[in-house]
Order: sequence, then C-alpha cells, then structure tokens
Amino acid sequence: MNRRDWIRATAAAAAAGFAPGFVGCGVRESGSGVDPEPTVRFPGKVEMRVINDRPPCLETPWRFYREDFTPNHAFYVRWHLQAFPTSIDLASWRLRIGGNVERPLELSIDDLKKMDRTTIAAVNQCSGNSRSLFQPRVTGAQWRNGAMGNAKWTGVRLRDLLKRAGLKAGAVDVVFDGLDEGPLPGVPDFLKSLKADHALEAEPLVAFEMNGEPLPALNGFPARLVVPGWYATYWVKALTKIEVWDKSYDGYWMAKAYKIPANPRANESPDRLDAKIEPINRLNVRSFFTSPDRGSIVVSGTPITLSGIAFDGGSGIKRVEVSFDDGRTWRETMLGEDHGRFSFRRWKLEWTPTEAGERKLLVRATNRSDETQTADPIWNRGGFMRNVIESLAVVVV
Amino acid sequence: MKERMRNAGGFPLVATGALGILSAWVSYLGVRDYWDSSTPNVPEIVATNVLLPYEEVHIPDGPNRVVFQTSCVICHSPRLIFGQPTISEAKWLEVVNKMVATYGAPIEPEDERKIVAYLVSVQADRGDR
Ligand code: HEC
Repeated sequence: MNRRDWIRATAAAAAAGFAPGFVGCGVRESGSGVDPEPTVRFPGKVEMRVINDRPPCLETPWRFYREDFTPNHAFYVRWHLQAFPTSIDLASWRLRIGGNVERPLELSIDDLKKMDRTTIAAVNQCSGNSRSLFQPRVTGAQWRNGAMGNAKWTGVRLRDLLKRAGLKAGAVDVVFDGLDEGPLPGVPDFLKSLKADHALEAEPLVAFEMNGEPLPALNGFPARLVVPGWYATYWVKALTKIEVWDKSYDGYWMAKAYKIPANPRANESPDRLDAKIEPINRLNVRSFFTSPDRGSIVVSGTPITLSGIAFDGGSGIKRVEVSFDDGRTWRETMLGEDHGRFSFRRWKLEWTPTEAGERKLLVRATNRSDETQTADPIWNRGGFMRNVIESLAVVVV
Repeated sequence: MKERMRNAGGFPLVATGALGILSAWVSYLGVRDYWDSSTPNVPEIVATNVLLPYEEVHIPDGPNRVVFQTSCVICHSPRLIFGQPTISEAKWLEVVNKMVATYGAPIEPEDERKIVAYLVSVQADRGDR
C-alpha cells in the first residue's frame, strides 16, 4: 500500500464512520461521486492541493509541518487577482516609496541589498486558514489547515526604508501595492495598509529572501512585505510601491474585505452578525499534531513520540499540553528549539498507550500573555481566525 | 605603478590616476559578490518567468450552463466556484451580486438569475459537501 492508497483507505474509513473523531487536514471525499480537488505541481513547487488555479491558491501538504521551517517548494500559495506577475525582470523592477515623504525613492533590488539586512523567523498564516472547517460553512477559498508556513525571512527593515525617504509630519497610514492587478477594470487592485506607528516598529521587513533563497515566484519574488505576528493578508507579494498617507487609507481590501467582529475572539453568531467590525490583525494562538499521522495504528505498551507545532501572534509560546481524556486533564509537553517569538515552536511528548481501541487526543497551547485555545470553535462571516483545540484520532491495538 | 607613470613622461598624472581608479572599480564590479561577506551563497536570480500548468476544470452540465461559462470564468478559475460548500439559493444570489456590484462583473440582471439556477442545480447533483 503506498501513501496515497493509505490516505484514501483512511479517508474511506473516516467516511464510513470508523473514526468519527477525525478532524483537521485531510481528504474530504464524501464517497457520493464528488471529484476530489486535484493536486498539481506548479513551477518550483511539490504536488499541492489546488484551491484555485487562476490565480493560484495552493495548499501545503501536511507532512511538511514536521519541519520547523516550511520548505519553499512546499510553502502554500495565495494570490487574489488573476493578473498576477508570472514574469519579472529585475533590471526594470523598482520599489517606489512616495506619498507623504521628504525624498521619494526608487530603489532597485541592488539598492535594497546594499542596505542593512536582518533575518527573522515568522509564521505566515492566511486569515482564512481552516475556513472549510467552519460550521455553518462560509464561502471563500476552502482551505483546510494548510494555508500557513514558517520561514526565515531576510530583508530590509521597513522603518529603515521609511526613514531613508523621511516621513513628513502627520503620517497616518502606509499603503503597500504589489504587481498583481485586477483582471477587469472594476476589480479593486490589491492594496493593504498598516498604521504608520506599526510600520515604524522593528519587525516589519521588505524581504527578498525566504529560508536563505530568493523568494519563489509564487511567493512574491522579488520582494514582499513581512509583518511578523500579523495575518498574511498584509504580507503584500511582488511589492512595488509603498505610499505614505496623511489620512486613513480606505481602499476595498482594507475597508470592506478582511473584516472581523471587533471582540476578543472575533466571534459572532450566524443569525446576528456583529455591527462593530475591524480589520483583521494579529494571529491568535494555535497548535497542531504533526506526528503520528491521523488514524495511525499504535501498539499498546510501546512508547511513541507525539509531536506538533504551536504558534501565536508574537507573545511567544509558553506551554503546550495534550489531553488523553477529552480535556479533563492535561499533560505538559516538552518545547523544542526557540527560533524566536514569531516562529513555529515544536512540541514533543512521549506516550505509552495502554487501553486498546480508538483514542482521541487533544492539543492546546498557551502563550506568554496567557491566551489559550478552547474546545468551542469561533464562527464569523469571513471564515477567519479559526483556532479551536485540535484533535488526533489513533487506534491502539 | 608610480614607476610607469614617471616613465610615461608627460602623460598627465591626474588622467593616469583616474584610469587606475576606473579600472579598479570595473574589476570590483566583477568580483563584488564574492567580496561582500554579507551576501552568502545565494544564487543570483535576475528574472523569473513561470509557466503555469493548467488543469482542465470540469464544468458540469445543467440549465444555463452556457450563460455560466460566458460570465463566471473571466476573472478566476471556475474551480474556485465549484470548490464552494453547499449553500442556499439566496446565498448564491448574494455571491453573484457581489461579483457584479463589488468586482464589476459584466453580467446582465436577467442572467444573474439564470446563473444562480445553474449553480443550485449543479450543487444538488453533486451532493453535500
Ligand atoms: C470581474 C471579475 C469577476 C467575475 C466576472 C467573477 N468573479 Fe468571482 N471573484 C472575483 C474576485 C476578485 C474574487 C475574490 C478573489 C479572492 O479573494 O481571491 C472572486 C471570488 C469568488 C468566489 C469566492 C467567494 C468570495 O466571495 O470571495 C466565488 C464563489 C465566486 N467568485 C463566484 C463567481 C461566480 C459564480 C461568477 C459568475 C457569476 C463570478 N465569480 C464571476 C472576481 C470575479
């Protein structure tokens, strides 16, 4: 049996009710004659699940989360607009910085590379990661859990660029534009903005390397914005323009799209949508199992190592716990190497299963601000920020 | 270098100096990537050009399929549409309205209803998901 047959068999078992506890990433074949989404190899990428092929939205296969850093060739892909750049010549590419500044700049990639550079490990997670698991279901790209990745981003601090251009007094927002464009004139161009104060913090970068290599074309070559701790919608790809505004930016992708209910969990009721909404911002706390595989058969009396990842919006992970009794009691796990507070944090726990039968394990993380995960999933109209306690079903024999 | 300058006799010192700096600069341009220790062994990529694969999307038969095909495949792949969960007719009407009102999809009002009928029918055929 090869891996794919095995996954199919497991999925069939799950569909047949053999393992009702299965959640998380996986094959969603209902057995009702539905064609499963294809997996396709895009340039520079492994075979990935296709959410949309024009423009490409591709999901990272789960096995790659066994590595602390998601390899570039398996890093998920998410473009909004069909006229996205497939061909970029660095000889003519420029990063333009203008608007409310003393000295508008026009920088080549060499100009950028001559400036002080820095590297930061940070999770890039799509706002709509796990959207397909919302109940009731929500329209939008139907991601499972694979719209996230962790990488070492190298580039120039955004604040160094802004200082070089010289912010004039009264800067309010900083607006970012990439080379992607709407396919028809009525489609609003994909622009995002950060508050000027945020743009001047130490973390945001204009990155030209990812895990020590140039950015892959599908992940924003030649340079993209990196906003550690914030959802990936702000990490504008194939960046070409930075504009400082002396008033609030109100373009479609900030003012209308990517809005969440303005309450601490971004939670609302499908029957009564919250009137107060705000732009999505910091990542909430999440944790996952990455090993063993869902549905694995494990042997009673033989110790195995459970492992997974945890991350948050930049407080850093304080604790990851696993429950073997549906959340009544929790065992603390060992945390792996600390790559910085914005990175995936590996956790591991040795477990010797005893009773035979199907077991459901739960995992939850707590960050250094004591924010944690709960068993009741949130819901919101955009299908954003899912962070429910995840589970893993295994069969003990 | 100084020796040669003197030997050259009459050749203006300034011009020779300038030449020297220029040639040093030219050779620096050639090797600077090796000198610059802050640039590790990153392969130099000067351009990208990716050719995207195309995986044919099956557009199921159903009422007004042609209207759907002429209205809903311009801006994005129909895969994004067929990948949506099962939603009500009212929700589909909302989606189609959004394409017109928010994204400027060139669709006649009478076609909106036809497209919704198609989407609802195709969805019923495929079963829940
Ligand atoms: C004028 C361009 C355009 C046309 C024509 C168009 N769409 Fe879209 N559609 C978009 C854009 C832009 C998005 C948002 C893409 C993103 O966020 O990645 C979108 C997203 C969607 C989504 C995802 C859910 C959502 O709300 O984002 C669905 C479903 C969809 N379109 C259905 C349709 C259908 C059905 C038609 C035919 C009636 C259609 N589209 C025609 C531009 C268009």
